[in-house]
Amino acid sequence: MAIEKKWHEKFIVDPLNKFANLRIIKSISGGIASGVNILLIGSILSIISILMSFIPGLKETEFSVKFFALKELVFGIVGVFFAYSIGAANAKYNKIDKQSVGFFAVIVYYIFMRPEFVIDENGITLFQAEFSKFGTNGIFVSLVSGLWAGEITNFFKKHGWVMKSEGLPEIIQTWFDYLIAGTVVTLSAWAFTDLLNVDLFTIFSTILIPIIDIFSSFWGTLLLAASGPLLFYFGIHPLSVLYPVFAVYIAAAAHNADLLARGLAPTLANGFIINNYGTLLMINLGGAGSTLGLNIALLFSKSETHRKLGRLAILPGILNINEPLIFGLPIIFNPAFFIPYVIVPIINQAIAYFVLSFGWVRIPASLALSMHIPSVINAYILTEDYRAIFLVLILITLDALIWVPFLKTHARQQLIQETQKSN
Amino acid sequence: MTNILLVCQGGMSSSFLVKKIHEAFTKNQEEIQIISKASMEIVDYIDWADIILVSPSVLYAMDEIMEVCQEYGIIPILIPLELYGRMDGDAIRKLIVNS
Repeated sequence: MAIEKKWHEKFIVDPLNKFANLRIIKSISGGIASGVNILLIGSILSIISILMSFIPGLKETEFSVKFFALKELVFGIVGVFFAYSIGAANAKYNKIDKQSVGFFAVIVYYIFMRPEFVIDENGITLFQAEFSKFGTNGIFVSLVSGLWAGEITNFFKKHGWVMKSEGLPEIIQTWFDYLIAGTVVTLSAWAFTDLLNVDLFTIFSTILIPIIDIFSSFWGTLLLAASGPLLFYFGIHPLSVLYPVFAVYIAAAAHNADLLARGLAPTLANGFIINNYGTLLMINLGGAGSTLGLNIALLFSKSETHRKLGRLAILPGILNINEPLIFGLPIIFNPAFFIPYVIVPIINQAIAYFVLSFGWVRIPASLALSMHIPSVINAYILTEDYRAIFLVLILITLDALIWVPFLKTHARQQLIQETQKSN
Repeated sequence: MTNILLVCQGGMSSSFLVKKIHEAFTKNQEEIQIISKASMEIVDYIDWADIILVSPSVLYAMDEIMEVCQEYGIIPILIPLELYGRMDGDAIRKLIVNS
C-alpha cells in the first residue's frame, strides 16, 4: 500500500499539482471560471426565450425578434469579459492591481481583433468588425489578451519600472503606477498586430480546427470523460487542471451556435460538433464522474451510513457538486470504487455520442453553458429537445444500476467493521 | 464576533457546508459570521477573516494558501476529508475551537 502511494504521488499527483499551480494555468482556470458567470445571464435569457417559444404565435412578433437580438448581444460580447477576467485572475496571482490589468486586457483584446473605422455617407465614423469575434469564438484571443496584459504589467511592477507618485491621492497613484506598463502593453499589442501584421483570431481559428477535431473525436472525448474522475480519485480537483481543455470545447460550442444561427438543423451531417461543452455539461450528471446515479443508489442502500450520506449529498448533487460523495463515501483513494467511478462517465459519454450521432437527440448548439443547473433542465436548455431529458434520465438510472453491486459489497464490509468495533 | 472564511475550488461545494457550520455555532450560543469563496479569492477577504478554513479539494494549492495566510498571521485550518464529505458542522466547530 505504501509503495503504491509513493508511485502515484511521484508520477501522477506531484506533476499534476505542479501543472495546476502554474501561474498561467491558474490564471486561465480562475479567469474562465469567473467569466463563465457572465454566460449565466445569457442562460437565463435563453430560458426565457425557450419559455416564450411555447406561446403560440409569439415567435414571429417584433417583441420576440428584439428579445432574440438581446440574447445574441449578451452571448456576443462574452469574449471581452473573458479577456478581463483572465487578466484580472493573472493580476491576482501576481498580487498586482487586478482592475488595471483587466482594463489593459480589454484594450489588448480589441487591438487583436483589428476593428476598422469606416466613415459612412453622413460622415459618421462606424466601428466595424466581425461580430462573432467578440463572443465565445474569441476565447483563445481572450486567453492571450489576459496573459499579455497581466504578465507585461507584472514584469514592470516587479522590476520597479513604475512612476513614482508619492504624495498623490491613492486612487490617482494606482493609475500612475500602472501608466508605463499600460502604455507598453497597448503599444506592444498594436505593434504585434498592425506592424507585424498578425491576425491572432484567424490564426487561432485555423489552428483550432484540427485541435477541435482531435478533442471532440469519439476517443478524445472518452479520454476526457475518464480524466475528470481519475484526477479526483487521486485527490486533484478536476477544475484546477481541465479549464484549458474546456476552452477548446467552449470554442466547439460557439461553432455549433454559429451554425444554428445560420438556420441549419443541428445534425452531424450539417457540420455540428457532437462533443462540445454543451454535451459535456448535458451528461455531467451530478459532477465529475457523473455521481448522481451513485447518489440515488445510496438513498436505496441497506446501509444506514449510505442512506445518510445519500440524503446529505443529494441537493449539492442535483446542482452538480459532488464533493460530499468524493470525500464522504469516500471515493478518493478508495480502490473499492475506482472501477465504477471511472467507468460510469465513459459509458455515459459513449452512449450519448451514439445517440447524438444517430440524430435521436438534437446536438447541443447553445451557449447557455452553466455547470450548476440541474442536468435534467440543462439537457433541455442546451438542446431544446425534450428527448434529451429522457436520455439524461436513462443514463442516471443506468449509472445507479452499475453502482449497486459495488455499494452492496461496501455496505457488507462496513457492517462487519461496525460489529467488530462494538464487540 | 469571529469572521470565518471557508474556501474550496470554486466556492460552490463549501457554500453548502457554511450553513452547517453556522448552525453548529448557533447551537452553542456562539455568534460567528462565515462565508464561502473560491480559494483564489482569499486575498480579497483575508483582511476581513479571523479564521480561514480550507477544503480538501484545494489541497494542491495549500503551499500558496499557507504563504498568503502567513503574511497576515493566520494559520489556515485544513478540513479533514471525512468531515468535509459528511458536512459535519459540529466536528468542524470543535476543530476550530480547539485550534
